[in-house]
Amino acid sequence: MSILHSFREGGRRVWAARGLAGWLYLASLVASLPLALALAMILRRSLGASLVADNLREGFDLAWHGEFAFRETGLADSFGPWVTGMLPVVENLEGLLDGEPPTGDWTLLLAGLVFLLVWAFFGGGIVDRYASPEETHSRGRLFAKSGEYFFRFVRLLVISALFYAAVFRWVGQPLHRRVEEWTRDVTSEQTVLLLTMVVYLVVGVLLVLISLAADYGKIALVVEHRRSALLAFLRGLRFVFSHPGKTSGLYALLLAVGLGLVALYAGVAPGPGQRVWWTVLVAFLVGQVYVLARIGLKLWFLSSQTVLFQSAEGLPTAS
Amino acid sequence: MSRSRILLLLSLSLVLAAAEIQAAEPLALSPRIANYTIEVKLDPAKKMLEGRSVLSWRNDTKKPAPELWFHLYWNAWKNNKTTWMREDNYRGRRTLRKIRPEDWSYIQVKSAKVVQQGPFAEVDLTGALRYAAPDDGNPDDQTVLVVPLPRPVGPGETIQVEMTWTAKIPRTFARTGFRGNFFFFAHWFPKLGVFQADGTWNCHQFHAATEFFSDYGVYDVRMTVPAGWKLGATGREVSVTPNADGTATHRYQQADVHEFAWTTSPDYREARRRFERPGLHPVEMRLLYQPEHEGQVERHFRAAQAALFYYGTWYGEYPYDQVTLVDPAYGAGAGGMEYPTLFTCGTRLFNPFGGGSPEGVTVHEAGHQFWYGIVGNNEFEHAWLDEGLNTFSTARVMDTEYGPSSYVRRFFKGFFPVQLRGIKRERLAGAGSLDDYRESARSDVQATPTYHYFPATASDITYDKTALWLLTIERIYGWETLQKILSTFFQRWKFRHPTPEDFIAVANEVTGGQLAPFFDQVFWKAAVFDYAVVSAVSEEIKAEGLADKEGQVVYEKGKSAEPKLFETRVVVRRLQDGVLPVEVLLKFENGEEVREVWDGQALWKLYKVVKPSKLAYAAVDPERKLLLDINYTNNSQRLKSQARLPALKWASKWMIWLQDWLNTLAFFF
Repeated sequence: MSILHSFREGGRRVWAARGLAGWLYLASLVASLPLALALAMILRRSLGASLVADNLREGFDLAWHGEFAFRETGLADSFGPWVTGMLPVVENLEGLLDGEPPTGDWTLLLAGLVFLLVWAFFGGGIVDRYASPEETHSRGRLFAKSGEYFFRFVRLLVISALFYAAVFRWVGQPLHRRVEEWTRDVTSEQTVLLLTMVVYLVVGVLLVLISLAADYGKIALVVEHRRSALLAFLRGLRFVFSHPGKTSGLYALLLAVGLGLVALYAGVAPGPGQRVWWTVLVAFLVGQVYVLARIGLKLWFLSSQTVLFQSAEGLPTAS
Repeated sequence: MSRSRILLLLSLSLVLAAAEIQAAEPLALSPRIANYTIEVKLDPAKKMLEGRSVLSWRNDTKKPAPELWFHLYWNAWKNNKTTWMREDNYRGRRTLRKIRPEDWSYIQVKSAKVVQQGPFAEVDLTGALRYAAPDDGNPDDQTVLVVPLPRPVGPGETIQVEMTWTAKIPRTFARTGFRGNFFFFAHWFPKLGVFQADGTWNCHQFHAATEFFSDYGVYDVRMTVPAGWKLGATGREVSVTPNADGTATHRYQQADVHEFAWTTSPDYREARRRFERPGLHPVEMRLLYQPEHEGQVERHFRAAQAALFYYGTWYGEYPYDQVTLVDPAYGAGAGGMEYPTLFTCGTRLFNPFGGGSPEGVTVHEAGHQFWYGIVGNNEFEHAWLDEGLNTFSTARVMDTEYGPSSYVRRFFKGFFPVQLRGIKRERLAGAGSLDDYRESARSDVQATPTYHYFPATASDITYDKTALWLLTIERIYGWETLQKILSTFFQRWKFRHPTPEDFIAVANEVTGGQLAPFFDQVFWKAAVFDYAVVSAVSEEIKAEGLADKEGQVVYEKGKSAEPKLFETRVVVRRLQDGVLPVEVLLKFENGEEVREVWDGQALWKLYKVVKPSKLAYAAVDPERKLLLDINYTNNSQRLKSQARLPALKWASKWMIWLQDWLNTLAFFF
């Protein structure tokens, strides 16, 4: 089974079960919309009937934001000019590689946890759907399989979280500190930049490795009917190391698609200048298409990896 | 030749050189009170300086001086008990955590003697040297050295004191020190304090949140560094002499300055341009830059030229023949600092044009040639006089030369900037000054000596508050008035040491005393300004009650006037203690305006107006003249909020950010 076949077949299975992306998109809406509405209320309260609202309709007003940031706490702390254009994507990527949440606000962290639990819930059903494309799948089976594997997926989530934390704690942060120490007498920014990027690369590779192990662990949980999340994670890790070319090649191919998506979004990501309702709506919809595409891409990863796993291990489709 | 004879000859040559320099400049710009001839040798491997200096000091007061007081700035980083280090910890900088044993510094005077000259006989003073801590009595602080004299220096007399000293170079503190083979030296030699008219020395300990103060003079400095290394310094290079030991001695001279800084590194590249504008003194500009910033050379020169031109036009010309711009090594911590005829800029590998960097810092430090270099205020006590005036001027130059800068956010440890051209930084209010001031508005009364400011918020008062109230003066009284204040102050006090009272006197002189109440609040007190429109109502006037009609008294309700009339009631409030007359604008739907000036004395005022049109909005200080108003959002009010669209727009963008974060999380779990 070639990488390309897994890639194509994975894509086909995602498209065939595109309703799954809809569920997950719905979950992202449910997790984010109430908070966005709460923020909208905070913004409205801050602006009141002030003429400053005109500046925020025309673009952004940094002077107003200074006042806003001075007074507001909690959810509003995460709001600033960095939510516009491509900045959110870069901001979140940086936060990911540094292992730092974008905010300390508990409501946002709770939203993140809930969203992860939703993914953990649907995980079993999603893998089941991709692992047995020929079988009949109903909404009932999706929920049944999701429920069946939920706690195993949660345990897997906790295990991978521990691994991620270990990478940040014992690799990322110490290496960044070490670079700072090593370069105390370096006078060229290029050198420090290069070393810092090497650290980011190392951290990134380790994160990808854990992510691969977690993904193949999820697949193993379902297609091999495993009960132990830890053994499934190790099984995923073993699979990655026993098929390094195929797993990394497939990952690289899908990553290229992801980078293409980001590049495309960078070209169309709306800036701060929407002045009327319909342009605000269009800007929002462009963002939502991007979000949906991201969800689809993640499913494509899972689907293609499922195809690769099944074919490489000579496993029958799950039932 | 014996060692003592060599030293004698060397001393003699230094003394003669000092005399030669002072004699060679017939048209002195400054009083030339403290003049130095220095020889210093850098040992780059050991990070040491060995120096010998001859100070020639004239007592320009009417009081005798029985002692000389010197700053030994580098002792500020001798250990964690110094006043500088203690105060730096108050600032939360946690400097101590990063210091290694080899990073500490010191300066030690090995010998001091009076040179035989005029009424003074040669006397060895070494045994009488002692440290003083005039500001806080800290016995562990050795940043002030007292040199008792065998006989006082009388009014008008000149004394020459020769010192030898050795100094360990710090890993950069306060923008002086080393990183690798990059060296920057500021405040690096025993530096005389300022003898005041009352017969006392103004020689403060080194504080974390303050800078420096010294008398003008003539500097003649020979610096010995490894041959082939580039060197830049205050003044102009007179000669470079290769030595047999693989070093070279660079001699620089400059008159009418109050400090001498220098830098050296084998990595520097050099570029030169000439500043020439009609009516202004031509200036040779020299840029020492890092090789990786080759592409930013012209940006540095353009910014420096803008500063020389605008400051020169607005306040008074730059009188020196040359200026050296230094682009310090990455991470050196030496960027963004001013010294006479030399300043450090500071840029990054990636710095998009339009984001304000490195242009802002270059203009600012070039601007210090005027505010600090030429007008030499006491930065220990009144740092705002140069930093505040210069922050205001920098913003004005940047606005005039480049227009508003765009919002830039840096990512991945700050290496990669992303610029949002659609989001502009409004001058001072949107560029951080107001944000910083708002947080520290009551932190200190500005009249407090700077070294007594709370270290963590000192710069908010010194830089930001001053710049904001200057812009307030500009907007209320006009640029012509403010320019006249600043240029009068500049011309009157160049090459002298003005105090806040001198500035305020000039401001009141130019404005006929109008600014006195303003300074009472912003300078002598920590008044805070916040005006607001707290309610705005506009209702149609309809008759209700009894009316005479055709000989009968009838009851009427809800009858409109012909033509329709609306009663508008607007309440404006002063929410803080700061009082300043402000304009109140009532704008009506038919385009009519009512504009009144409210003196702001009472806590509130009701404006009641009857017009044939409804109110569109009311605004207090509609043109945002009072930049010190800490909350401008409440300065205006429409009858009906129009915040729904912008609130939803920005919340929807934030939602996409949140969704992206959620999906980034989900991708990896």
